[in-house]
Amino acid sequence: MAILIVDMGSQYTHVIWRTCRDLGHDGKIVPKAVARAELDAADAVILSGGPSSVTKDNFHFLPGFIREKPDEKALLGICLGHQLITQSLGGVVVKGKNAEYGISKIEVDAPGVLLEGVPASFNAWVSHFDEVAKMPEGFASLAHSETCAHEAMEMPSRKLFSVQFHPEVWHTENGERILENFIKRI
Amino acid sequence: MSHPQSRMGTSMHMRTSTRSEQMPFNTEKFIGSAVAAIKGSVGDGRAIIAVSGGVDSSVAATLASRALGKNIRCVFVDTGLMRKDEGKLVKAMLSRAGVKLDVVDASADFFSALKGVDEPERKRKIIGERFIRVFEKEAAQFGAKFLVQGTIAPDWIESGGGSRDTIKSHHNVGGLPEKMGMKLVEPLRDLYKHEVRITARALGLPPEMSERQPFPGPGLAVRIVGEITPEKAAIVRAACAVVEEELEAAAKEGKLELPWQYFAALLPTKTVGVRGDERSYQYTIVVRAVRSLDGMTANFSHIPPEVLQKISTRITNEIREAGRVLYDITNKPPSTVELE
Repeated sequence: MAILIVDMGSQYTHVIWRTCRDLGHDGKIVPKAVARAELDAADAVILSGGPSSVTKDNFHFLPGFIREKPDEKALLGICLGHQLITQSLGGVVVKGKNAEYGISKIEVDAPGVLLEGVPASFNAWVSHFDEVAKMPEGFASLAHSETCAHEAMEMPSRKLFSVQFHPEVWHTENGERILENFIKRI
Repeated sequence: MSHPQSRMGTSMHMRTSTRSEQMPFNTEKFIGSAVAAIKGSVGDGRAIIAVSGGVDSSVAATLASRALGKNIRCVFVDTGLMRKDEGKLVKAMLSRAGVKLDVVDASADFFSALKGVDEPERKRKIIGERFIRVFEKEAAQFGAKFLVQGTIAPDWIESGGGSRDTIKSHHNVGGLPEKMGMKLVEPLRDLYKHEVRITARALGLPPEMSERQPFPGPGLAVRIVGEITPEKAAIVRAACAVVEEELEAAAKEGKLELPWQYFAALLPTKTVGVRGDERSYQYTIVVRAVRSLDGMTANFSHIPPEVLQKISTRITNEIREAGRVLYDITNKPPSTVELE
């Protein structure tokens, strides 16, 4: 199974690779300017976080891929990746009222597929200012925090999943379970 | 130990075990392929290895010794910015693992290159370049064309590149000069600290080495905020020794879980105090202790107040130039583990 990990400049891109490996799956890290053909050839794609903003940066072939990918190809967005999925599919990303860095308490509203088996409330590690103000049509919001309304969202029928927090880092409780829930859907 | 409340009003994050810590890293496979890769890169040539005394470079040195035998020379550079008795200690630990270490004293050189420099990135780049110049000299004497380094994943991740921002230029990556007369060999590039430790144990390095807390490549330089002087280096060295002694003793007594990393740093800010009815005006010392697995994220350790009190009393009583002691209560992100 080929998991493509798109590096959008996150400090944790390689940690995503490591966690996938620890879960028994080899991933391949590619730059964000990755060719469309390579995205199309992957079994699943994970979009990393990154220092830029969806409102400012160039994301090459990624928005088109997010819109046009076949339903059976699984896609997971993390942090900036979560925001890019939102913007590409017609949702709204804005600068939040408050930034969130470090520990944040995630309150699960509906576990759905991605947060299945995860406690109703858990600590996660976050690092962002921008946030999803309005989800794209068809998405279900799974969890919120004190400062952020959509910490996780999904549209399982199109295998679209995304999280604002970082499931790949050690400090996030249940992070491996969440990544495993995604991998099971590939 | 107690479970103080965090800023969010939630109980402290007390993770103990994840799959990453339990089993997944295949040490035997890694050691075999790393030794083969070093042999492949260096061939019949010679290499030197930069040993800092930390677990990363010690593991790299052991792998390189297995791969190259007599064709590797291990060099420890004393920058004047090392911990108390570091050179002696490291030499003794490595000799027990069968690795012979040459100690080169370059402290005068480092202090003069760093004079008047207070910008953290410039400090790191100067240190990176000084290291390479010393290694080039040693390599030329030994006839080595390759430099083996214990670079691990967070070093190159945080040094930036592509769309990744530069958080800090690690001396062994972003701090390297553009021109250098040696080819780099970095067998640990994809590893994180916990994986290096597993490898260290498998290679038979003593526990004092395999479990040793991380120490930054630029040494005490990143624990002195602003300009570095030999005087400030002596202060922060003494303060680091107090923090290490007290936290290790408290951990032994079961008062706390030994933090992942723990040290003192010096702020150039002076504040007013009173000692023996006399006014004092001295530097500020920051005590830092964090929990982590891989150094990529970290939370500040919840040290019991009586342990902090002992540390504070010792630092201000034993170090005349230390007037005030602060405990750093910031996580990573938004801060980093070290101050610069």
